[in-house]
Amino acid sequence: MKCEQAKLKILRADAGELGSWQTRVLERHLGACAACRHYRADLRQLAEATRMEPQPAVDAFAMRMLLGEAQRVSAQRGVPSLGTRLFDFFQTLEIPALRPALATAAVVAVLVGGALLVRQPSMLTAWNDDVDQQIERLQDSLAALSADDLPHANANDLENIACELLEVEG
Amino acid sequence: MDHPERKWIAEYRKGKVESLAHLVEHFRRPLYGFIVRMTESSADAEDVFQEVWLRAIRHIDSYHEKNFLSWLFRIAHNLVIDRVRRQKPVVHFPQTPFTTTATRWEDRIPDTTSAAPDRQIAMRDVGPRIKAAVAKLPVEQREVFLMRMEGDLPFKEIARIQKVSINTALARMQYALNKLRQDLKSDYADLSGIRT
Ligand SMILES: [Zn+2]
Repeated sequence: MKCEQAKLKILRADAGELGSWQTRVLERHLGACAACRHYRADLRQLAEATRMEPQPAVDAFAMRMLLGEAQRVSAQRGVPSLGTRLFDFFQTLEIPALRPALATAAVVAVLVGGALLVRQPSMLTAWNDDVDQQIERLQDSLAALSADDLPHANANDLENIACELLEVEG
Repeated sequence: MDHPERKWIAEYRKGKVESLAHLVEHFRRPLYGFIVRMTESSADAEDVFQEVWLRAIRHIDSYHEKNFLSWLFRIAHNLVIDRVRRQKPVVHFPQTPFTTTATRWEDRIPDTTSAAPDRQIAMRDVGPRIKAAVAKLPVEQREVFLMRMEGDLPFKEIARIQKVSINTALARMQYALNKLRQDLKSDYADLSGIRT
């Protein structure tokens, strides 16, 4: 690997965007190249220095204004849509404990999504009224699963499915 | 929980307005740090910061992504670019160093084994000059640099916000780092990282 390439890889590695194989290749280069090691060390120091600048706290008046607006908007908003509720549900899952159950949760989500697909818009509205019940059912399905049922899945799969659900619904 | 904001977003969407305050506080540092270096003055920055949150509040139901800060940065990007297009002058920073003793960045840089004492000395007092040098970067490069450094956004997200390829975002970052190296040459004489 040339140093110019290595520097781009260092940027992506520090951003958490390098796969494990590429990381190993990069680490090998770094092991042999002092210039790139310095580049990485200095990049990190520059990042550190940039983030060290003190910032003022949120102004109390501004915060009151934002909360007031939030209150006003909140009063006008209806119940969040099924897709949004499902999305938030997946986002707030405590992933490590539930990881084995995620694949089936994904299947359940796909079924819900499939059902939404074939329903008429008027039915969608009816479903939206029933959001809590749907989520409860999903939670029950999750709780009923054992680790053996579910070989592979991760949080990203679930989030992607939630995103797809939203598109289906939207 | 690794992502406390997810809980606050869910609560807020269900109508718990106070959770918004947690979100605003939680993201203050990176978001304001970005905005203040992309705008003309701290008064401008406060305006934009406020406007970002007002838009977020009004469109919170359309948020269905994985990275809330990235979503906020996208709103901020649109507002900042609008201002630039309206020919608002870009930021100019005072050259005087800040001296808030508790938060001087040079006192808080971790002392890594790779950083020899002379390197630490070389970094001393460079903070305000980094600020000034960043302010001189072209808008697109400055934005990439700040989204990466302040927001810790991955290049994939930065590229999406700027509507360019990842390679373009990476190239902008490289240009920015090279220009900073030029500007900070004397401060960084001993730091090979900003040397090519
Ligand atoms: Zn190298």
